[in-house]
Amino acid sequence: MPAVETQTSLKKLVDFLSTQPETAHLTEEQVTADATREELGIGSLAVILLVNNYIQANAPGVMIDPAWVPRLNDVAGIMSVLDEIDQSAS
Amino acid sequence: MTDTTVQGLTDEQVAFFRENGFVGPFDLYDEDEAPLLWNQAKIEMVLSQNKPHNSTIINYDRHLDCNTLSEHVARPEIVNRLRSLIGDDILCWKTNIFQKTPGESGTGWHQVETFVVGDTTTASTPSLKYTEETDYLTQELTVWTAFSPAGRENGCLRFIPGSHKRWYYDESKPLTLDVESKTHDFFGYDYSELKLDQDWDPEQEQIVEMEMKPGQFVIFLAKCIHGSLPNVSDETRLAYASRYVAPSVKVYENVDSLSEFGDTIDLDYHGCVLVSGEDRYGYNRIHERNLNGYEFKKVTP
Repeated sequence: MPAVETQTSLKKLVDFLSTQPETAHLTEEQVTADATREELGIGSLAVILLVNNYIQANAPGVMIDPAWVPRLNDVAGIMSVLDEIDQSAS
Repeated sequence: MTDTTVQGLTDEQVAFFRENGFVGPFDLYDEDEAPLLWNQAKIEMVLSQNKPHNSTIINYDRHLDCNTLSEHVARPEIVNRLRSLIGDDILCWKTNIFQKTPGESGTGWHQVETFVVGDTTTASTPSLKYTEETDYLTQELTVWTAFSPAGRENGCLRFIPGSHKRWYYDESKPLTLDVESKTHDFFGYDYSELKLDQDWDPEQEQIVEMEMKPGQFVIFLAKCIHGSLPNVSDETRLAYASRYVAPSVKVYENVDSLSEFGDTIDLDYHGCVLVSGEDRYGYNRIHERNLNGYEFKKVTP
């Protein structure tokens, strides 16, 4: 992914996490593209809930794809899933 | 109704089960399909609006609120093989998730029949009460399905073949919970406390390591001594156990809650699922639909 797109996706994720009660404490410095989900203290089930909340807020009607689940183990993967959700909605 | 053309067990497989207490593995899902199905189930579990209970420690019975798992427990590939051992009338009474993360230790040997575990099920109030003798091979069976690789390095199941023929443990005795102790390797309990002969070492017995691919399942008697190896791989091992009884067995009679592994759940939600045949006894509450309203499928012999 080009650097500019990565920065845009990262900003989108950081902004979204700041709206969620469980992740509002995370800082921009912590949410880096190479961070893992575990490093951010987000559980494997909690991240699915986060994705669902993102869909409710930004792309109602999009279904969570089971193929996304293994990608939710790191920030890069989560960003790519949110991008895919946005594309599905547009 | 469900397609009943899927074969049951062959005579040789039935004979193998009779001698060893387990049989398999059998193919159910494609190797690539199984992890995706589990992911779908995981999504349903997280987003469920109809959870049977709120415990995150006791992971029982999510076939009652996850449609993917509701479908799984009644798959004809499973049920028709069970019919060869338990007869045509079959209830699914319980399911468990068995997740073993990288580095997690093996599960200690254990042998059960009435499922006395924790504080609320006791010798006088077991999970299962057998009310009559049967002409079939058994009245209780477990199906353990791998949804990830379950080879030796991942922590596969292990059996002591033929051990179902007599008791090596006294399951009616209480167990002490100590999640910090390394000897408490049966989900925080030390099942070796129940050994009838403290000098007997199960590791000296003949052991079968049941390596399985994602999407395969094995059928066994809970009375056949079983356990698992540690997960020394870098991948989480995921399995789903569905447990079945004949309708003559009373499930959770006089048991209103389960206190196990340091948590408690009310059994208000509980009911069995008739996955094959008929219930001529009426001992147990039957769920015809799951908690989402999904109608359970049933094999009609």
